[in-house]
Amino acid sequence: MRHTCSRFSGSAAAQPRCRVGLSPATAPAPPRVLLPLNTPKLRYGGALPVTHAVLGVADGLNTQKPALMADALQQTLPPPPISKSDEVFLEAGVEFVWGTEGVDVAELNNLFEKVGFPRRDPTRLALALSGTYRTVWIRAARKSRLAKLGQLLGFARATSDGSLSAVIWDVAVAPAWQRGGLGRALVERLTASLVTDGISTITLYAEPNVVALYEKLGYVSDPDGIKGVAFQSKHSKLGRSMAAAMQRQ
Amino acid sequence: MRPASLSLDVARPAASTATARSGSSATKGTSRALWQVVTSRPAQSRQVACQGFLSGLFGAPGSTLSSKEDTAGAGPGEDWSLENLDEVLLTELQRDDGSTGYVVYRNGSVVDAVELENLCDKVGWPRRPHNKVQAALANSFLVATLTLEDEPPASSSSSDASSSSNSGSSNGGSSSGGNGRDSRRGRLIGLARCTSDGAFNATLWDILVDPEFQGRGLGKALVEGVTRTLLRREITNITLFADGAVVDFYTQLGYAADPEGIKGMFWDPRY
Repeated sequence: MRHTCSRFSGSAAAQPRCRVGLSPATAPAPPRVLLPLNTPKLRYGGALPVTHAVLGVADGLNTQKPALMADALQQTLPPPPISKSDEVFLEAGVEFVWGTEGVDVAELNNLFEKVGFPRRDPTRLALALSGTYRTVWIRAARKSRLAKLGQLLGFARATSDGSLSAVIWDVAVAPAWQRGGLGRALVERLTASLVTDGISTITLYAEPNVVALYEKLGYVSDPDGIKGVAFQSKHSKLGRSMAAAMQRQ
Repeated sequence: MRPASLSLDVARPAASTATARSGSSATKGTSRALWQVVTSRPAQSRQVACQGFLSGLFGAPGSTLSSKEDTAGAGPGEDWSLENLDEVLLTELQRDDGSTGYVVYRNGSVVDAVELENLCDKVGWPRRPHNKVQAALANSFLVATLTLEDEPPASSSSSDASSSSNSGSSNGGSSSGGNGRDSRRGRLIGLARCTSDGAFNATLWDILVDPEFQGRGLGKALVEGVTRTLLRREITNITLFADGAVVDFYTQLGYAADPEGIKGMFWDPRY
């Protein structure tokens, strides 16, 4: 399954990572745990998540922290159901892995190439992974004629501020393993994970031929007329002049 | 659920905007009319900073590239391509009482969630939980602000070295002397933040300008500043979500809606 626009103007040497505007204490790495598939966490006003209990508003009557009360009263949507469990996929010989540890950048580039995404400069791709909020990938659980043990078969990741918004990128499934529900499984799990984190707005950019697939997964295009917009780094004056100036450097 | 595709609401005509555009200093009584662009300044080099940002590459809507912009060896756009963009004096505004306010674009200021939500109130956006906003600000890849300050920044960007004597050094020890991120600098009048993986993709959120200061090109300067900052870090896939009515604002800055038919989509099972 192909996914998302990725207009990259060409590989370049990696630059030191710079979290501009980020306060010194960075967010901790997201946990690498499998989701509790059969018990989606629902949060409604009155049934408060654990964090709020710790802060002393568990009884819902604390009037000293109106901001927290507002958070508690804001209904959080239930995450999407997982249509096929991990066990079903394990029987088919694949497993889902969370986090970037174990992702081989060269293998990822090969996967990207197989699905028609551009190959990336390996150093820069490693940098992107380290700056990604959540990653889920599919690994061959056993050796078969279609895969070596441990081979990367599918991938998806999301950037986010961990609170208000997230964007899903680079959803890919190796062609030999497509049409088996792996792409759907990746997006369901990644979405559920982000919803469970309480992230209010989850988005992605879909190529025209996969819009219908994401609609089945609960995504909607142009809600209220809101459009996805992207910078034209090659077709705009600003983009071209910046590229020229940086080349002159 | 209303998606948080927050964007500068230039399409919404504030009543005071029409008043200010009449250009007359006789328009007293509205808060908007208190601020007028200073027309004659001895420090011409500061104007370079303004013009590089505000009237650089995008110009007026629908304007075609004029040959002089393209062939000029060091046009405003190219002058500013690789200058330090982390702090830029955009323009100076003068009150009727004669005091001067300096509009500064800055990367990486610490922004208080309360300050931001107050600004969101002014543009009519729904409030969001304080703790979520705080967390989002702390974990954004870039937070860029427009602030209205009483003193020019100590390091006002300028391509003219001789201008350094005109920057706020006479204030000596002013709080704007670059000693880090003071969130109490001036008044927050605009903000844009983005999430990113730091390498390929970035998405802009919460782009807004105080209605009192809209209509002056500050929103464009804000978005252009963020865009340049990202491009300098070789992050070239820069995206955002815009209300249909404000897409044209971004088109003028080099953005395009649904490029190659790619659709921005939001998760919400209730739709």
